[in-house]
Amino acid sequence: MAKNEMLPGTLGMLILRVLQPGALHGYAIAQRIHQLSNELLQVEEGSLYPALQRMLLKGWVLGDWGVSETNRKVRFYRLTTAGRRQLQSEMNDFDRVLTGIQAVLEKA
Amino acid sequence: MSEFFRRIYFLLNRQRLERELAHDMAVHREMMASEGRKDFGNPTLLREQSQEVWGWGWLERLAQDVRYGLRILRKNAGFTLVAILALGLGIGANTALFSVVYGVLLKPLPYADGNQLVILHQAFQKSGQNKMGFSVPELQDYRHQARSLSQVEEYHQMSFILLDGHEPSQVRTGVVSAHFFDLLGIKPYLGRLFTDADETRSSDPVLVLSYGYWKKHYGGDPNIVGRHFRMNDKVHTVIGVLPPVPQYPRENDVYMPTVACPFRSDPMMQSDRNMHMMYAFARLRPGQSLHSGNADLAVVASVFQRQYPESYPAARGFTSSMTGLRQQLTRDVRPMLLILLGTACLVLLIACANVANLALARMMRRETELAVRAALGASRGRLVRQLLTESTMLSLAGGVFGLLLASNALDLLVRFVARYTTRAAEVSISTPVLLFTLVVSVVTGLVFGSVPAFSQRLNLVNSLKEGSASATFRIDGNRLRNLLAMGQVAISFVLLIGAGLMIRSFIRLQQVDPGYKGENVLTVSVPLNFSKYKNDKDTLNFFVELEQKLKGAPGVVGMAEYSGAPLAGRGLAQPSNAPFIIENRPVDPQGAQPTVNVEYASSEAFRLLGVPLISGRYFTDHDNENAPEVLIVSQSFAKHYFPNEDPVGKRIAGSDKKWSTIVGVVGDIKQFSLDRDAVDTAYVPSTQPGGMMADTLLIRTAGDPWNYVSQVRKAVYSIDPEQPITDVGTLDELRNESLTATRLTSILLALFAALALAIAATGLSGVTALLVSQRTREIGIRLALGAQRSEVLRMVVQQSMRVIVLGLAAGIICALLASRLMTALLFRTASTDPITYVAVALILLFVALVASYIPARRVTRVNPMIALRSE
Repeated sequence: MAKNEMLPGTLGMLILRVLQPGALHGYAIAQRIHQLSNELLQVEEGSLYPALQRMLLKGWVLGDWGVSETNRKVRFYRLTTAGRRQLQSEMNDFDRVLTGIQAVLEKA
Repeated sequence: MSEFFRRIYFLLNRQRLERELAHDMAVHREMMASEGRKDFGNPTLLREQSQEVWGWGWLERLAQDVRYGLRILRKNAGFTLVAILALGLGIGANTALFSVVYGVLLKPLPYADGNQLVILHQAFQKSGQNKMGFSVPELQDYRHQARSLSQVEEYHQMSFILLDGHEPSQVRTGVVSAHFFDLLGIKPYLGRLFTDADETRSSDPVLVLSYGYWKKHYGGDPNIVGRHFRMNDKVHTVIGVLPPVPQYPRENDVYMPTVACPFRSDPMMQSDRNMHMMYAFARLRPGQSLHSGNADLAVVASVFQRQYPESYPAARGFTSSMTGLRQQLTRDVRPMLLILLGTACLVLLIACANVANLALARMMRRETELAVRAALGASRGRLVRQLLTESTMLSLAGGVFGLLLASNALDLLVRFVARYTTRAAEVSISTPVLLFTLVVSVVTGLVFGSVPAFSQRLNLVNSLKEGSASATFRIDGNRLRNLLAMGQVAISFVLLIGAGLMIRSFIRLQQVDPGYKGENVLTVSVPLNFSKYKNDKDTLNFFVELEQKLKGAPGVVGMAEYSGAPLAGRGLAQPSNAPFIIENRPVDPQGAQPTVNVEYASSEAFRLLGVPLISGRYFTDHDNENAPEVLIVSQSFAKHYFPNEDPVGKRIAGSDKKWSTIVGVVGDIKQFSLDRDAVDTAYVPSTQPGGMMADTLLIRTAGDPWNYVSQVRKAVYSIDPEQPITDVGTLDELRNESLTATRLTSILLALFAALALAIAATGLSGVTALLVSQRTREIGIRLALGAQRSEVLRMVVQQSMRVIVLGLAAGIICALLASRLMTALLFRTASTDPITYVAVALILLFVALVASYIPARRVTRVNPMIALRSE
């Protein structure tokens, strides 16, 4: 895994997580993940937009038109109820897997 | 809203959503740029990757392929047209035949639980009586004893005379027990069907019309129920109309309950278990199969034999069995339909090979185009998909064309099949047939499309470098093309053999001597009203009077009465198989009892028919009811039962034990069919007991027999205005008619074979033409170096010859194997008939040579200078 790349399968969870406090537009999502990860994680445009399309299709997020801080008309993505449920279940799964991995790493 | 519907929503609003996505991503990049970052990728690729998530990429690509394919096909209009034509013919033939196979063989019977319906059979196997029918007491026994059957109903057929309307007419009548239609699960189309109340002696005569008869003769009159029909001596009331359903064993005009039939109502008929007259229809109990049902009937048969040893002597080997009604209905047509369907499949295969070859040749010209597309990033899979899309589009167009052909040809095919089964009316281009056509079209497209798509390695670098097809591809492609051409030759040979064998059978059948001279003989049936003409004497008087009226009329050369015109009845007539004994000859109690077909003939009949007298004498007018009873026997009868002596003077007796003396032996007549041996026959004079059976008038005329019909009709009406005449025809027509099935099968097979040959011939032409154009340069060099044009021509033709001869060899092997399937349809023709094989091989060789010679001649026009400069 190269530097700044995401653990496979976790991008969706991170996107859902940063949207939990409130709606964000695409660039803000990438920025937020970058900042919160202490600039460790970088979300590429090529992964962000396919992921967002999948979420729209699954009905986890909805896009609403809004105005950005740079005064551009842009879509803000917000979580739906189904999205919240999905986030919760993904976080639970992730915790379980992480606990498992840590246990192996410590005891082996 | 589920994901599925959201996907559809994305598809429907694709354009707007694409715009929005592009906008989002553009803003994203602006924001990145404003922070000084420039590391974003190819925007189009990124957008496409995001759109891919919607799951409609394949559709977009398909639409693209279709658009592109359409453009290509339009540009190559010649190829497209030929391909659609060839595929359409192949698919059309298959569609038409499949619709018949589906309607007749596959579709469930339009009766309730049709698969549980069976027909019962009884036979005296050892005395050769295979179709003997059921008596009333037997039917009762089956109802009580056969545990596998939940219901047993009876049927027999009669002809009644309908006296309404302008002219008296004969109606084909099915006489059935009250619950016959309930057994089949048929609901009335109009009115009601029979009930128990209709079957008591005192009930009023009632009538149910068949759908076809009601439509044809009463114009589908909705007020038909309640109408009165005067038939024979009774007035019948119409109570209902049947829906359009197939009828077995024949299509009847009307149905009556059993009490309406005077023969069936006879007390003797009710009690005598030897009066085998009825058909037995039955329904298997749920859970019973044909197998368990047959085992059950075997038990019933053994009980019969134990209880009534006189009726079922062990020596005659009594058996009882059943077959499914569906199998019974289609038994006669199945082998032929399957052969025709197989033939149609082969035609489609040839069409496939042909179009694949055309497409291969075209591929050479498209190599550069494909190489360019590949160089621009199209994957190999994408190119293959493009080619398959094109071929499937072609075959779908062929399918539409084929469907048009099939719907036009279907009428003809249905009329043909109707000779063999009453299910023919159910044939139509239905949903399953459409599905079949769709599947066949798509599969066809994939099959012939995959040949060019996978045949080559798409050696793109070479193609680009040379600007023309690579050498390796040429060699591989040629080998494949030759193989395909060979296959076409081989399959055409097989089809031609099928047609050839059938035609040869037909010729043989036509050459069969029927045993009589049928030119200018008019035959007219006068089915006397049995309620009015109750005995032999009444009948004889009628015909004597009729002869007096007609004899001596200009053009009438001779007249006779006979019990049924030879070869009449479309092959449905059966020999009567009456058991008999020979005087002073011990009866072998273990041996099979001999049987004979009995016909009734007036004294003039043999002379009129030109049947030769072998020994003894013909009948005379002295052989009347007061004279001792006499017989004339056929030559085959004499050979079988009196091999070393003259039968004249010997006496035989039927089951009534009354002795008759044989007074003559006459030549054999093909009474029932041309393709079987003449049956052993005994002739009874129409002037002696039983003579009322001789109700067919034979009239030899001076000119066209049809000119005398109105004269005959007038004479009949003048004696009895309520007497119809039926089955008007000539003996020659009847003979031709009996060949119709073979003739039509021959024509159909020949048609398919001709189609195949034509397709294969164009295929060969194409291969040779391509060969010539590929080798133009080489030929130019040869010519420049001094080769003679004739030598070069020979070289090219020789190469095509190799393909033809190899194809022919493969075809001969396949035909030897496949033609065995046809044995059942052939008459006195071996499936390996050498003359047919040689003749067909010569025809094929000739056509193939011409087909390859014409394009090969182009080499003689090659100009060496131009050829060398080209490329």
